[in-house]
Amino acid sequence: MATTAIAIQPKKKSPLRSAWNTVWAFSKAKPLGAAAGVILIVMIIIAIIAPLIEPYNPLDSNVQERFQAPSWKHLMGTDNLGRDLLSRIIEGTRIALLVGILSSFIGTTAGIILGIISGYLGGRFDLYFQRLMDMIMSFPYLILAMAIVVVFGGSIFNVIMAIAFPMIPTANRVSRSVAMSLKETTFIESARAVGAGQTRIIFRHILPNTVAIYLIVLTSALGNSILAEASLSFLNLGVPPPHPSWGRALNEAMQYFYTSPWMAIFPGIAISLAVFGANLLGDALRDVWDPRLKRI
Amino acid sequence: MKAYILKRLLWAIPTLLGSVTIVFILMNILPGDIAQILLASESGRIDPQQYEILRQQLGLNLPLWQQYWNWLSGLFRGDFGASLWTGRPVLGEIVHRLPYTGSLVILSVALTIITAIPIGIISAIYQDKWPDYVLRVLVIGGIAIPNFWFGLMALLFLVLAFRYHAPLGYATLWTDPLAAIQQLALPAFTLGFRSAASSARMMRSSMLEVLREDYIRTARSKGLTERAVVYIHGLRNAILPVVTMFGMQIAFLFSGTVIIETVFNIPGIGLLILDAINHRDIILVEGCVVFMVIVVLVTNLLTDLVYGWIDPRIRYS
Repeated sequence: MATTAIAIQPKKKSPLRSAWNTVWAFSKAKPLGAAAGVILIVMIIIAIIAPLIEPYNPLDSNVQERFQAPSWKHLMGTDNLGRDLLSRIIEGTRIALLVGILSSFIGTTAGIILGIISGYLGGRFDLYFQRLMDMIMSFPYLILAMAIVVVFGGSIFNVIMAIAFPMIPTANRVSRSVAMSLKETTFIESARAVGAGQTRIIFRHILPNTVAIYLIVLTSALGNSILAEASLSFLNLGVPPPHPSWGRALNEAMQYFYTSPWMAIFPGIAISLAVFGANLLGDALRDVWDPRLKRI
Repeated sequence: MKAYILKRLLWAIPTLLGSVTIVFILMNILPGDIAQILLASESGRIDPQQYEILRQQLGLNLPLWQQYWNWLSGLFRGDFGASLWTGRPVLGEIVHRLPYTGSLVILSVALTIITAIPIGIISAIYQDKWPDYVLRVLVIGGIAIPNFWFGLMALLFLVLAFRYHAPLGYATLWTDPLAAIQQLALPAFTLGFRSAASSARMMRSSMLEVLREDYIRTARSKGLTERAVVYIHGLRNAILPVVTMFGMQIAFLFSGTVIIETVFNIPGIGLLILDAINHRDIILVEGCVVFMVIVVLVTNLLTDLVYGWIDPRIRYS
């Protein structure tokens, strides 16, 4: 497809130019995926420049302005402590993306590498390691994440780890099957024939060939981890206060939402938009890169 | 088939033992123990004498391997320990709450099956025509919307539009099936629509793949009606990956019950875990997690058996 055509072009353009061409070709092939990419990029920019665009300090409570409905003064209204909801949602983007990106990165990377090692080595190690992965998979995702947070306590780092850890088996399963089929190819055989060691083969020859799979798994994991963070915060087990989190905002809204529904509506839209963007981008990347699904 | 069932059953045992061991390791990984937590939360300081007595009562003075053995053998006798919070046996608490969570999950699965499979089939048959587009947008939306937010919005809508009040107590499928369906329809939909959406997507792509197979062309060329081609030759093959996914969906639904039961205030196992966490009742948390793991493993086992039953190729490989 378009990306392959670009990949085999002779190297006369600058790398920046060819990267741009790849992005352009992707956007033409998958407009919906590109739109999703734009949503995510805008969210990342918002997260970076958050303090500059927040109309109020997200942590400042103002008792006189509690439960204000959306107005020009407070575009998304205020919450039960009189804090400006728009500022809190902007600030919440930081937590959602920080936890979402880091945990999906850590979980997917660990899972992909372990899967490749397990698939390449095969034999007894593979057998036992995959049983261990089966065991972890038998835990309902959120329940395992909750248990980890409860045992280790709810700091940002622990929440990231709690979301990342249950992701390992899924990523492992995908990359293991890729490694097993790559292992039989002739270029790996020739690498072995010239005397390359196992570590070299795994990291120099197999790993680079799993980049597309890696990015697909990573983007689809991103949506899940943003949702997992929101769920944990909703259950009061996420990132501890005073960090404003979308999930906790929803939890706080639960008590008041018959009278102040805006408190529940806007954080939910923020979560949906982020998850929607990540899922759609993941789908589009899979369509473009995974040759098995290209026909569909 | 018998050999297949036996093999699958034998595989399930080490997985179960391993998963249960992971729970034990997780709960004993930190320095300090339950006795410390209990005393610290009661008085804020720890009296050494009281601490020693409590450790003996809870069996914490034994070596770790012996604690593990006692705990494990307890599990097999159905003794999950006693809750630190209520003092009642953990298994009793779970069994008491099970009918609510059970009704919720069963209704959700039923809903998933009734909606996902037809949506996937219609979407595949009308690929790239308007019914397909409409259904695909629904499916993508269904995957993105967090279920707790959808639940809250649905409640809000019902309250504002129909002056709806959430029921004070819930019926279960065992006590009063009709009332249970009526009360739990919305929570079950909220819990299940996300997995219904991903199953529908799976059904669609699997059906599209199957409809391109040679045997479908053969079926068409021998003059079968389109209906027979799709529903007899296509569906039976296309549904296989969806069936495997149902097994995984159960684990996913159990994750969801914690949230849905919080939103709708249903007194099930999900809410029990949260209550246990809020009361720092480690033994109850441990028991609930072990229970859920067992349920997931048993469903996976059943899914595999169903899979073997509808796909003879699996049995003989």
